[in-house]
Amino acid sequence: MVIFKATGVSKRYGEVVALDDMDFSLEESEIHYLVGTNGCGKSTLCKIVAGVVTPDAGELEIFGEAVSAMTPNEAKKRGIAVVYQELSLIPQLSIEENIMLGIEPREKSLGLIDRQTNRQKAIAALQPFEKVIPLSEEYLGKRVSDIPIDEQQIVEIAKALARKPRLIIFDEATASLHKQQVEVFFSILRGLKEVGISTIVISHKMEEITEIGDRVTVIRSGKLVNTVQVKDVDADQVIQMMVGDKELLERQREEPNLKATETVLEVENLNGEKVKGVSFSLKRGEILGLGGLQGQGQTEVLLTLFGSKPCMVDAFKIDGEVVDLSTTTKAMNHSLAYISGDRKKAGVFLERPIFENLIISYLIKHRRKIFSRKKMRQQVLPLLAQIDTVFGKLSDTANSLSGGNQQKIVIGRWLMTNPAILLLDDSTKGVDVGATKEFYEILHTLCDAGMSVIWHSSEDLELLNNTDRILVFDNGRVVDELEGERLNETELYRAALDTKKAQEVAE
Amino acid sequence: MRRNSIGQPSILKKHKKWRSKGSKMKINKQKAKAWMHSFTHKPYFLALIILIFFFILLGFIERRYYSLYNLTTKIRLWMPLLLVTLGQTFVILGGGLDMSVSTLLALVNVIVVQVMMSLGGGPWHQIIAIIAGLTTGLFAGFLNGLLVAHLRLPPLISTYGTQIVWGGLALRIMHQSGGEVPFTWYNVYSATIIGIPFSLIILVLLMLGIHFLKRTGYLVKLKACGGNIHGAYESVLPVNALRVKSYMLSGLFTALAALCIVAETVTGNPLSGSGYELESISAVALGGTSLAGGAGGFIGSILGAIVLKLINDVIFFAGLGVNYQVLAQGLIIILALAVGGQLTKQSQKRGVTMLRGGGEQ
Repeated sequence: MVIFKATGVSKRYGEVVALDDMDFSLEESEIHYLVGTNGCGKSTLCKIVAGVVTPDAGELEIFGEAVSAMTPNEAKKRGIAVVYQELSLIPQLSIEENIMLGIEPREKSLGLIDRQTNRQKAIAALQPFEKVIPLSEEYLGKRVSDIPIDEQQIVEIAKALARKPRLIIFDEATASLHKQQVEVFFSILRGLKEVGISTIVISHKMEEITEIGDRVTVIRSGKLVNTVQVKDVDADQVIQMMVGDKELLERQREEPNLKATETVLEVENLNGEKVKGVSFSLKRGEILGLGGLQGQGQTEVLLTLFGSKPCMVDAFKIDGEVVDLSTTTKAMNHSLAYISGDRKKAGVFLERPIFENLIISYLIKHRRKIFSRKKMRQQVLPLLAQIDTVFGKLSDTANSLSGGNQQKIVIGRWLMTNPAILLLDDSTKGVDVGATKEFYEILHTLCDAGMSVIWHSSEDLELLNNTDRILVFDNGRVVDELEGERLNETELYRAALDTKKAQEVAE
Repeated sequence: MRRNSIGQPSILKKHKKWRSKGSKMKINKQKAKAWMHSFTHKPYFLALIILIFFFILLGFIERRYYSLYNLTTKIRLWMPLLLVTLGQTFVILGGGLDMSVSTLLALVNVIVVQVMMSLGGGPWHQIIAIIAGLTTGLFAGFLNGLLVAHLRLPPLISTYGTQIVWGGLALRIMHQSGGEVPFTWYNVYSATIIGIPFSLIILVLLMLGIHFLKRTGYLVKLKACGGNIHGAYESVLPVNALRVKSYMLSGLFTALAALCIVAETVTGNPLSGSGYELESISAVALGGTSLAGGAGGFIGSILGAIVLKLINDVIFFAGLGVNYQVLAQGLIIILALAVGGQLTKQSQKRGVTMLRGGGEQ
């Protein structure tokens, strides 16, 4: 019996196509894996199943019943549960209260909570995890904020189970679990399968799929690639399907300037939030990419380098000298610059004139309290020409510019400080194709002139096409380094998804 | 409060356990740990310590403070703030704030007096007046709830707005203090039943009522709204209804406080209750309830309110000028909030960042 079926489903967010004519079906008592590269649309598909997102086109069928639009609450009432990676627990409440929230059993007489049954049901929901958590009355009373993240994840799963769903979606639910807990999670999946409950699992762990999955659906750029029986394929084939047959490389970066062998920056054993023991070095004129799946610590590396996140490090060395990069001001004075992809939040002062936007960092760096507008103007204008910005007057607010030009203003601001190392954090997000291309060209010219770039991007192709070298991140660690021939998508995903290697590195 | 329902062993039991356990160093370490745990996990702990300290201090300054007569009078005078604070606790647990309690107190006060006087003042008329007062409180709370939960207005500003509205209405109904209620109100309110003051009995009954609410699951759901509203939606809780109810409870408790004031003063005053909004919020915070919502309890709020009142007494009996009262009150509130807030924040922050941390978009 088909539990859930989507035919020809499409969803657009503005310009971006998240799902394009997607077909998907889920059988009864099936463990169905959903895989694809970053931003391929698998999360959108799950959100459609959960009723969070309404598709623009296409037909949905749930438990044999055609459905046009569905709210999250309706989806829940139909027995669809979602375990998100970002948890929905209430940190201040106890484990028991969290699991039973909103579904407390009542006494018949006064309608009060039947505490004994409540407790029993909470225990029953956690029972399958007995081996990996200290299940006891006292444990149930603990506050969720007092237990570690992996146990919180287990509580989240138990909470979903307590609602007796017919279909469960796990959105990277195993990401924060350790090995033994994953095994318990598998046995739960098998148990669910036995009683006829279907599960959709989003995961990047290849060996998980081959161990427990029944079928796997591969999505690429919002389109269905194929749905296959897991027993018919191996991990390499799945990766190949995710990435595609032909290499879509339009390499824009010419061969790196090999003469430039002088090391600008060295990072030794960097540790911090989501960053574990990262070391690397950066040469003058080099573009270094930070790649891998999203949220594996790449952004955090950039932020710690720029002094806006605390960290523990053996040494930061710039031009061979140990330096202190503990605050953003210090980082700036050591000629670092950080350009965020979240322009509106961390880049442009939208309500202020272009002129002020351009000179602010320069003034701070050089501690200029008094300055001549005329002289600054003379400095600013050639710079704007150099980065090819289209604008009306310098006194117009940054609001009046297009996204691409706003981004150029941010770059311009940092160029005013004459940086030696540029940190790019997904900087082309939301910038149109033409402007992005110009952005690449500007970067390449600047690098030829001796600037170095560390670049994190959620667009894999962008990194592959524009960098000299890519560090592949997994769970806060560098698991591989791609260079030359190996700069292609297959290698990138093979490295990013190779959990065995990741474990070796971790040990 | 929450701990109790789960049946965790009390601190005393833990003490016994350590003694049997071994070396002295170990005991001290564990003791310190348990103390820290009490601070961070029993929200009312800090208020309790301050309260005991002040109470002992008052005994030293003025022996007669402990007299039965004084204490029963005190409880009666504290009642309005205690009740308003209890009501405020509901709202704050749900992640809101009720600034309108002060003028609501005045509004109910004048409505009760005015209704009774215009009807004639007979026993039935008095009951009607009480019902009118309580209904006013509930309705005012309902309006606050609509503004905050359904229209999504920020609680601080919208209830500040209604505060001005209630105040205006109160002055419209009775433009200066006056009116009269039968003296039996005072007699009943200040009566003792087998030595127990009537006001204390009311308080105990209300606490039982709150305990009943807890058993219905209302409080857990309300805390869920205050703790992580996104998670509450995810768990299919009727978030808006829960928050509206919290404001209605605040209105009801404020109306009860107004009845106490009427009984105490036997007259109507359109300006009574001024300052109660901030005093009640401070009391709730002193009692260890997180002003961000989600964690805390009612025992703490009672202790917090009493501490606020005791500060005044300490200053009065110590012979310092009344002008120092406000100053000292402010300083002690800031101190308590800084210490208590820091401690609870540490334990909660850890959890919150853990929950928020990680995740692809």
